[in-house]
Amino acid sequence: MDIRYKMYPYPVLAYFLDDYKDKHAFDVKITQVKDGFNTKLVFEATLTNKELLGLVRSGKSLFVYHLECSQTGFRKVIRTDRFSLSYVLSNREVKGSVQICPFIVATEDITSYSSTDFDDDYKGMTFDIEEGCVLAVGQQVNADVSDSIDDLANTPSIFSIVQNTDEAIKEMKVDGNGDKIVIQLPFNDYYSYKSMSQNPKFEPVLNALTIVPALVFVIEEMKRWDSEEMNRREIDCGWFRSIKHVLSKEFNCDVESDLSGMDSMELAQKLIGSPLPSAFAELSGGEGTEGGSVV
Amino acid sequence: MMMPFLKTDDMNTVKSNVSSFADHFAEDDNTWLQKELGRNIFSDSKFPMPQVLLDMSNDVPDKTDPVNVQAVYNAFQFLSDSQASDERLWSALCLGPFWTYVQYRWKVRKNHSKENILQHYFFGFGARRSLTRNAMSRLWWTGRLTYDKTDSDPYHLTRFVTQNARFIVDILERNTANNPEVLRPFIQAVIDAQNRGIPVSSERMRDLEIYLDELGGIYILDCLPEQKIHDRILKKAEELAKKDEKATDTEDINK
Repeated sequence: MDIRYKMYPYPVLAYFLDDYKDKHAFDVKITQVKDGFNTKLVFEATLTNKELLGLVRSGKSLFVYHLECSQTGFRKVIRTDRFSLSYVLSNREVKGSVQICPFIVATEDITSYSSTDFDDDYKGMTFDIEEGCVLAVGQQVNADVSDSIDDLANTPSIFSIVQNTDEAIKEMKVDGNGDKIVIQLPFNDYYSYKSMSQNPKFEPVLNALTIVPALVFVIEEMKRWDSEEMNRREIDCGWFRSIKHVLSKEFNCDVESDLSGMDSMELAQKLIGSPLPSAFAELSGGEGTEGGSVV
Repeated sequence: MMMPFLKTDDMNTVKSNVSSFADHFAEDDNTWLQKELGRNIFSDSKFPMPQVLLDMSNDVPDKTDPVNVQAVYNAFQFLSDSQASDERLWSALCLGPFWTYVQYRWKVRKNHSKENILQHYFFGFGARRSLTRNAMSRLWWTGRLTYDKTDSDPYHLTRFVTQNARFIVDILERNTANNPEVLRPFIQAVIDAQNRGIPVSSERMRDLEIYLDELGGIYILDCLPEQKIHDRILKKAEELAKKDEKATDTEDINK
């Protein structure tokens, strides 16, 4: 489930709606902690709206955390009246990304509901709320439960290097539609790659030849994606989740808002630890060269 | 014998070169894989390979789904959901021990286009949809999503869903199918509608699924009692049937 910015036929307390004067009166801090092979989610709810607090305390509504993992078909709701709660996601049930949507939901039919904090448009009005209907919406969190990649430069497992069996094709191809970025090397070049990859000193050379252009390609693709495409890739593409995480953590770059302003070529090289200096050093016998004319 | 799986690079090698390999998928067996790639691409998983005999006797292959879903889910029930969403596992089973079945069920000898191969031997769509499109994972996941452990006949919902290949797409490929407490009352309501003489075609099933989605826009379905979901769907099926009757009566009058 994705929280969509939608309107309801009655006032709902949500950060994206103006139905209540204090639209931030409901929020849930969700943190994830590794718990062996599993992931523990810790929920800390805050609710300052008087009437909704009353409904939760009386049992007429509950905090509901809607969890969904599209990759494994996992879908579950956690219902609680507690402000603090933890829940362990088993690695047997989920993989990749888990969408977590917090709500306050009516547990029975509620007649004549009203709040002193309604926006002036609803002042003095009352509403009948059915069991199962949403009373408040919190911020969605997408928890990444895949194996973390610490360093894209070392044995990048978001890439899959394969051979092109069509010997007539002499160009490298890149495909970012799956869980990994597939780099398809020409028939004979694949054997050279396999042989050279056994020797760690050739890693920067190989990265400069294959990983850098592949990253430039996918970064340019990412710049063209809208929010919907980004959400889809979040679910379907493990490599996208990894790059997004590294960009956010190491480059302070949000893929949705900041990526378009970044130089793809520069970013691709930095993501892989800028292999060019080491690659040239290796190719030129370890000493490097300076100066000289270019023609 | 251990259950096979494919290493990611090997799987991606076959996938990336499907256009070159397409004609091989019409061959009697998979020995071409070793010849083309110069190595055995199947690795052993930690699980022993269960003995499964799939029904390939019907001239209409999708009629074998009810029996084959039960056979596969029973045999591979030990898999966790996380393991069962791994493309490397299912592509190995499709390319390996169930080579003949995939050809039979999806008429691959006649249609070995790149699209047909990617869809049924691998994960050719997004992560979730691929679970019900890959030839073997489809059988497992249909069983997994419809197996009703609360009933003395746990496959009663499975039999309904597999009576029509479109039902698997229309019912199980929606997010609402991921929660048995939503799926169970939905399917039961449709069964009850049929038992009351209301015909449920693929188009009608889609109408009811769309209605369930609309309900999901009003309620958190997972928080509703199953009976409420059941009653709303049954009522909708009855309303739509009455509409159809009126439309037929009007047509008759106009003739």
